[in-house]
Amino acid sequence: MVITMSNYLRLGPMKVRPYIFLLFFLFTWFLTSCYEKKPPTPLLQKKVNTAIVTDNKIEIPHKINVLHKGISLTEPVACTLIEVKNDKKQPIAYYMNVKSVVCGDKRCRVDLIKIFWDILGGYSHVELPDGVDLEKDEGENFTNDDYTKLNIILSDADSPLQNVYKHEIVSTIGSEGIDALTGATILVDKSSYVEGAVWTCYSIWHWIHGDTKQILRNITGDSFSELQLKDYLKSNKKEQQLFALEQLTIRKDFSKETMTLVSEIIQKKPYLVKPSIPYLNNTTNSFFRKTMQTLIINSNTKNRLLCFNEILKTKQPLSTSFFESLDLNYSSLTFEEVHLLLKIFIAKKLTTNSIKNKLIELLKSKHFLTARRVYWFLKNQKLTKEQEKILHQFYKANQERM
Amino acid sequence: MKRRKFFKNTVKGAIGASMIPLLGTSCTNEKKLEEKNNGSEISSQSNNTTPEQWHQMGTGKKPRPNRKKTVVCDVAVIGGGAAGMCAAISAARNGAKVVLIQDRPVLGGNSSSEIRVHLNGVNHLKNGLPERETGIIEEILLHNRFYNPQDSYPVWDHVLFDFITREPNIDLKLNTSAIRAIMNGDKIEAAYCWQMTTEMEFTVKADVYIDCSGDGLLGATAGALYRTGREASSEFNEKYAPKEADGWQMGSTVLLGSKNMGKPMSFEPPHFAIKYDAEKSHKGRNLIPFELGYWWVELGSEDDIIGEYEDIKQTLMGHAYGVWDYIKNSGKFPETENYALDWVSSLPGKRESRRFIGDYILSEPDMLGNKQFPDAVAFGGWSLDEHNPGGIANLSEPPSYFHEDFSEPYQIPFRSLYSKNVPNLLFAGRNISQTHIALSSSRIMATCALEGQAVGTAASLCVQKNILPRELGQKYINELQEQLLRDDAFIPYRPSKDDKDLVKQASLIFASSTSSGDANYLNDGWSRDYNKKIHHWESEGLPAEVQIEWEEKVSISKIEIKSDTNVKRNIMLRRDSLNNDVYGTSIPKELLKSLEVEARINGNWVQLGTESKNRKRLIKFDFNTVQTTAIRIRLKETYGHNNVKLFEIRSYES
Repeated sequence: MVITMSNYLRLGPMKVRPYIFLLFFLFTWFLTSCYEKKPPTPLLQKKVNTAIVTDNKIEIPHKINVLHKGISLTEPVACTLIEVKNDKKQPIAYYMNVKSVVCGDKRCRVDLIKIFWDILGGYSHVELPDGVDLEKDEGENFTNDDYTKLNIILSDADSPLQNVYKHEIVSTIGSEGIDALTGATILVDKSSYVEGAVWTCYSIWHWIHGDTKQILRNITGDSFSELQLKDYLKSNKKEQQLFALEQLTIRKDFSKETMTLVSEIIQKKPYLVKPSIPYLNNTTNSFFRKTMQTLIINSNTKNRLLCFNEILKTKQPLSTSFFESLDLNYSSLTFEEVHLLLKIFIAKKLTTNSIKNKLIELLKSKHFLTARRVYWFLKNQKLTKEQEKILHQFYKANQERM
Repeated sequence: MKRRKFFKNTVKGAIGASMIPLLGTSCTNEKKLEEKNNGSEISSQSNNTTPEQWHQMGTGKKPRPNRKKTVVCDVAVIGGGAAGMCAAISAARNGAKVVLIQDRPVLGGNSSSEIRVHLNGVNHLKNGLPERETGIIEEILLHNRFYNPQDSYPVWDHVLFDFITREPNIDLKLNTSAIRAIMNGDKIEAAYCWQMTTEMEFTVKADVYIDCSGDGLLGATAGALYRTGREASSEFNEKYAPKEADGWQMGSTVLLGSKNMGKPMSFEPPHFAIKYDAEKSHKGRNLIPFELGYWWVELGSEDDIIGEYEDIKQTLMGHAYGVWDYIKNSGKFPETENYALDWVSSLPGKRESRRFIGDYILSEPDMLGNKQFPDAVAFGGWSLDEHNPGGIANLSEPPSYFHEDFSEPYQIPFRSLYSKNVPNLLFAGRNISQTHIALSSSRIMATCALEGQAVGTAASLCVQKNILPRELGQKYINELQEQLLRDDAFIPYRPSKDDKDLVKQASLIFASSTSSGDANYLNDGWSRDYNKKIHHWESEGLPAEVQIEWEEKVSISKIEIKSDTNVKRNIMLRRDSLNNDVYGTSIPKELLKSLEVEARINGNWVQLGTESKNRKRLIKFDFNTVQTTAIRIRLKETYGHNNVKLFEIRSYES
């Protein structure tokens, strides 16, 4: 039996479009609803931007356990996440049925709603049952403006709601004491919620941006071929590239071809250097060394500092040749870079005579702080007579500032 | 400070009043022991009783103990509430010898176990977020978090006792009332005090007096000008003030507490209970939650609210029991069946009485317009929360008018904190120079505490410079503001520009990692993120390091660090022990726990100080002077946060 769902109510950055669902979809929904085991009522489409469900889709239920900050900080909630696949068995969306409100003050009306994600865990939209509007305080329905604001709030993965516990949302202070005289005092920024519906915003936001997001990313990742992940890496879309790096690290794809591709991409995209560190750290030693050397030479200061810090921390073995073979112009480094470099030399015991000679040159740096930093480093090194002489001259010239 | 009167043990100058005793004593701990010894000696002073009236059976002597003492100090603080404590601490830490006079057995004022009002401050602005006070009140609240995680009010009393009595420059006199000012011209020469528990008459002589007593008896008897009641709206252009001036003052409250006994508990009201007429009461008088009493069980006065206090108290107790009777016996609250009263206050908490007149009267337009005062020394931000005239005797009106919330904290000027006509009198708390409507917001205790820190610091500077408060405000306001900021007070839009701070002259500040902010913000003079602008540096993980380099050698003996305690959450003691990240019983997880400071001397890093159990937002290291070109702060652990966040690093030569 096929039901045409032409009357869906949807919240989301999407266009209006009719939908057809299979009977088993409704049945699954019935079975997998997190809390309420009742058949859903038909839904009314209201606001949509893009289509994500096609006629010949397949739906795969996944039993998952997730923490929802508004329910419990320690006890996961058992839910069913529905993976929607196309006829090529590729995931095209996810959704989950949840209660609209984790009610904090026992005054809320609870509706069953449907949250949709894209395949990377990005928020897509929310659907409401037929004839149902979300409710604010005093039983008022959401207005169109409220839905628009809700959508903006739910789309913000960095919303202030993320660091808030449910108890924090509503205080009970009236005047100086314990009370609720003037109604709830909301302890989060007003831009983070629809006035009169803070519980709804909080509840839905945490469903969307909670544990489910990573779970479905991993499901998508599992379904992706190596080729697909590489395509994502090459895609020029930051979200897809980050996803590919994450999943390649999880599946430990350290084939020569993949490593080479990662290396090429991160050199072109400075914003990928930091997220690639977990991947690089697990690659082969020769690849790690080579990639780090390339990054040190070609990166901006921020990423070079990142690499130096990583080299300082990594368990990957490094030999003296690592820096000796590096064509790095020390005089172009900032104080912080030199400072970290010297820390590496000490921690990894990588100081050689040729490095000392390069460092000696820094004593002539126009940046006195850098020169002085190098001086104190060299002072504790075994030096040649010539090097000692230069060092001494530096001290003599600057001893008031040492 | 040049003068060390405490060790002179002499009475300063002749005082005309005949009741001034001859025996001079001091505020120091050593001298306190002497006081005891002296106090047991037989005195032959004239008195109303005969010298041999008391036959001491134990010794066989017939002495009459000397019950009169003179205490000479730099600063006398009257009142041991939030304002008075902070005034005493700030004056003492800035070098003044301080006597703190408190007319009750415990410290804490309205927040003490005798009254139990929450020590609120800028709990929530219009955007719903707090902007918590820092400085001494922050240190007190943190102290409580470490020593009183159970949120016990009797323990809170002693947390405060611990906090005050560990200060070497403070001589605390509990159960002591400052009942009269002894004048020398227009200045207060001494405060005549009576200690109830010892029958001792203290004459406290100081250069500067700070009246933080709320009712302001000392200031009033000194002849300081003051007001009571409500101003007409036309006087200060206050939209929430009445059209005509009147005498109404906000009421005092009796709080109560109840306990679930695990079985049905009946309740029979005492004879003095006054029936509560819930039907006639404004719906703003919420009866749920019922467990911890009602702030709206209050009574004000349009006349002499101080003189009427005992009558008000008895009536209030009748109302408190009457409301409880309604809760228990009306049948409308079955959830109260197992509950019984286990505490009812016998000391109503006061909101309003005298307001002294200073060189400036703070008013509603100043607050709502966020007036920027060149002499700003404190801030507030509680809503304009004007309790109704009459309190519970006026059931038809809401218990309070929450006129307006503030978008951001307002400033409080120094000119509102000293008397217009008594030149050596400062004040802090609800008795400062302000209108009734301004008081409806600024009366909140943490705001009073900031005023207290300001006047305590001001008093110490007055003593150091041998000047009076008005001159301090006119000539040295920058110095006062800088000292407050150094001591971790916050003045909105007044960043520190302390030219003695050597970190301001640093050539380079950098950190081992950064997850947000920038190490270069650590000397920008702001001790918190404010108005959506970042002024912090936050590490990415721990341990972390911050290093400061100077091109030339500097001599330093102090390093002072301001760490994060998250001023966007409230940590005050609450009767309901609300336990989450906004109102919690836990130590702020952001607080820095373990760190060490080092200086680079001759190329080697030398440890200057270490702290493994830090409990303060402002962390100070004092050490012998070193010459160095770099310092390094090694940050090891917080109380739970993965990163450490700092707002300021300072260093001083001395």
